[in-house]
Amino acid sequence: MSKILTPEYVSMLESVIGKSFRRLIQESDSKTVGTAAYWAYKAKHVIKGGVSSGRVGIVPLDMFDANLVPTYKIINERSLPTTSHTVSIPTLTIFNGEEFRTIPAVQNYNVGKLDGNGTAVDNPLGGSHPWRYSCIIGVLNNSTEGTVEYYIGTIKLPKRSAKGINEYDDLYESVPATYPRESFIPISIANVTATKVYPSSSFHFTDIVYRPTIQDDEPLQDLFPALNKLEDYLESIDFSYAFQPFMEALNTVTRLSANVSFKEYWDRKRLEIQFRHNKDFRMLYHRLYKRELGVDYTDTFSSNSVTMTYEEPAVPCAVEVVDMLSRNQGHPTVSVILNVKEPGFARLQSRIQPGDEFVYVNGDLSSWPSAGKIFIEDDFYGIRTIVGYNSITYHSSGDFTKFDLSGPIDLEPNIIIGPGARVYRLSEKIAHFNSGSSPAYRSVVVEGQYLGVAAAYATYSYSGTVDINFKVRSY
Amino acid sequence: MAVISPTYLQNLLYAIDKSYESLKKAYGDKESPGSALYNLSLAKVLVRGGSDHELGLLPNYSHTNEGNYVVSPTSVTRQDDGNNLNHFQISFPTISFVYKGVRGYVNSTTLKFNSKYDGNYEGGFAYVRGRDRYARINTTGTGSDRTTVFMVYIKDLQLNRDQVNKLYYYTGSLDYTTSHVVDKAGNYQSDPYVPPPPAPPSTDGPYIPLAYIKPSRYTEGGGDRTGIRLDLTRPYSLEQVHYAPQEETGILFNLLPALISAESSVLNQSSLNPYKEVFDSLSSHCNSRASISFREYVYNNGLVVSKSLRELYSLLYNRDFILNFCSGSRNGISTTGAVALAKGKIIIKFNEVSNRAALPGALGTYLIADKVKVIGKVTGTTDYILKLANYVNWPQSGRVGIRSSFSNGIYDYSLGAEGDKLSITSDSHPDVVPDEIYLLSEKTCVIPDNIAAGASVDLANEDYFGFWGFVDSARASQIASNSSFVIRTV
Repeated sequence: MSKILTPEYVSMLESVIGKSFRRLIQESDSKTVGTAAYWAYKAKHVIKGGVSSGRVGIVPLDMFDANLVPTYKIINERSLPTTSHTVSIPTLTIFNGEEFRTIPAVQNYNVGKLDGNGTAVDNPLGGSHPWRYSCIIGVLNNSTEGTVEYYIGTIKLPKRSAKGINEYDDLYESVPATYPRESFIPISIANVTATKVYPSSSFHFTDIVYRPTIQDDEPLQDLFPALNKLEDYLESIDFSYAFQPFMEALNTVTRLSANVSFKEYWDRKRLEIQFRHNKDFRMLYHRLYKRELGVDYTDTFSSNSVTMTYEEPAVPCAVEVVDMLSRNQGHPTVSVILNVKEPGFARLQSRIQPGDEFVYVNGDLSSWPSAGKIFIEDDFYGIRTIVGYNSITYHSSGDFTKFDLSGPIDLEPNIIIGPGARVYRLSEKIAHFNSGSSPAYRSVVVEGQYLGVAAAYATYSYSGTVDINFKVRSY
Repeated sequence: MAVISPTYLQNLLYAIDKSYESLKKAYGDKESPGSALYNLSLAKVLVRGGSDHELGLLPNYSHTNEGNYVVSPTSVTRQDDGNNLNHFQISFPTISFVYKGVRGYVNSTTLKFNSKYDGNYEGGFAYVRGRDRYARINTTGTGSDRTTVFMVYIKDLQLNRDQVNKLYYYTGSLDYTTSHVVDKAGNYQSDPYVPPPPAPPSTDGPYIPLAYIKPSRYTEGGGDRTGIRLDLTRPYSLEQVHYAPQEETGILFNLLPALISAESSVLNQSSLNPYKEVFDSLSSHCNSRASISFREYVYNNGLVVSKSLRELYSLLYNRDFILNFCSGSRNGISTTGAVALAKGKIIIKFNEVSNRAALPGALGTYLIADKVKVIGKVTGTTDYILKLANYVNWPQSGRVGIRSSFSNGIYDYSLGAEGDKLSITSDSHPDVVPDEIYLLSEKTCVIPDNIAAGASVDLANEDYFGFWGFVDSARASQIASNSSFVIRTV
């Protein structure tokens, strides 16, 4: 058998091609801090001044201060050997993407001694290496009802370590690029140990969204067009076409060896063996062919205990449910119930804690069903949960929608879902597998455009024993 | 007619630099792990076979060019001392590698890790310890379970002539770093001198990943016994840079041209023209609004220009920003060590003249006429012979400048017949293998009788990369004692 038909070889190829593609496309995203397009935007901003719609961040208290550099230094209030974990923060002005807000100064804000998993930093580790965690301190939109309000809040970083104290050096490198910026404006990061809080110098970290407007016309007139063009260019580079000949060649080689296309071959093979396409490679495939290459939403499930992969397709697509077993004549009708994710998502506005009975979500979602289920997904902390709701109410004053839940939300102790988590509307779909004989890999396609599946289970009314063996995947 | 203020310009240059630097890192090259071109190059090697890199794992070539193509830790053993204390030993086979173009190998070795688990199922703690650093492990086993994954990698080879004297195995993550020193014989030194921990590999030079280690909670006997388990995952099969020759012509003929095409497409897409338009507008702006060149405006205002921004500018205009190489005054002479990225005219400019009569006359200098990267030292010889990264068209003999940690040395050389090896023929030779060496040209200028403050003299008629030193240091000191000067490009 040709190597091109083996999962090991194709996995390695997909991995290196996927990584190559991923590394390139992220540079075109001007909203992601640190990319080429982001810095081109910042260069333009230096000349243009002011704020840019949709960007969020802190602004200098004195907007006419030509000195540019805000001095938001979070002061370390702690001194050994006390054990409170507090910092003080001066009055801040923020731009939330639409308007300016002033946040009053906070004295002795308690960062807390528990890390993101609820472990205290003063747990013993021995020696001179106390446990520590890192957190981002920022301005949090914590509104529930009524007017929009802002508070100081923290995001605790998943990376943790036990390290000597007095160490600031890896603070910046510890900050992930993917924390929810939409509803959280960072002002500093800090290492929290059993004995001290070490805040960073905020200027290096914060995305300053305001710059004084340049006072002269000439630099703006002379320099802005070229900078604007640079940003446009970087945002518009389409790297996917560089990989098109490779994709075509991969298809050709697979056809020569197996008489079917690359997608067809692996669609079938994925039913027979454990194989998943590389996520970045799937993204590339979608960019070129405007369709999903193939992604599994569940592992093969032999009972109603289903392991969801929580993968999303590169583009909304139909869902395929496959019966993995061959069936004889006496096989009864079995239905697979799916909670599919509708395209698009909203962002959680407030925090959710165990036992909460309301959920507040950004924007006007009054077009969503008045009762049903939503799926809340927080990649940052790896938390996913389905909750039912009985009614929804849109509050125009704060531009958010309140969901009245069917019951108290069930989360593990100490788990908090933060603002910015994605909220999906779920729909229930059913794949019927009619009674009677059928060969293995009979499939039922649930037509529609869905962003994956949040939950699945099989059901039947037959009184005898039925072997359940299904897989749910993209179609 | 207002020109952009130096503060604004500095902020602007900073952002342009960051943009270019980020784009450059994304494109990368075949020796920049993680970059687009590195991964494309790996794909080519995977399809074609052989090796394309100067950094990575090789099949065990200590005997032949054949051997085990997958380098993996051979075993992880765990010993429980009965006190919730586990000791881990991770064994590696003999590993062959290429590092900065130098091939080497290290014998099989064993790394040791200690760990501890406090016995509490919920909310307990555990850690793995490598030397004096700890890796925290979440022990609750819940859906929010997070464990740090550590990487074992090779870097910082110590080369003594042609031999790999020591190699450092590092385990590291963004959170912590620990190192183990292993000598050439593969002996693990239990308490060796350990240099300061390196920065994470992403920010600190080349490295060769060998394995990922994932610590996690370990239970057995229905939960009666609990400890820590180390699982090894494998980046090594992907990061190895040598594969067996491709035997299937269908794969070779179809996929290789497509990958070569992808490489050239990526390179072609990396257009720098939009950056050039930005510099063009800056140049035009400075000229029209302040009657000064952009480079001079940057230089006169003492703005900081990073090396990557200089690289971008040099690529676009075949000209570097204005650089200072040396300054002198009655307080002494100091050099900056700067080397231009493109050739330019070099002058000595007198900012003050305290004793005009002492200055006129000849002044001999060594200027940098060319430069070349060095791959390493030539294997199997006792002479100091350097392998050059490129073939150079230099005189068969002459002088080169080599920078060591202590000084800038000037050495006589002899060029090999093929033009890619250079032998130092001076009585002594440097104590280091440099990254780059410089071809020196001796040039003498004449300082005129009527020299005055503000005047300058060309050090040579041709363009050069930089200034290395004075031929006669006594003459240079005499000039410095009677004036204040700077040697720079224009």
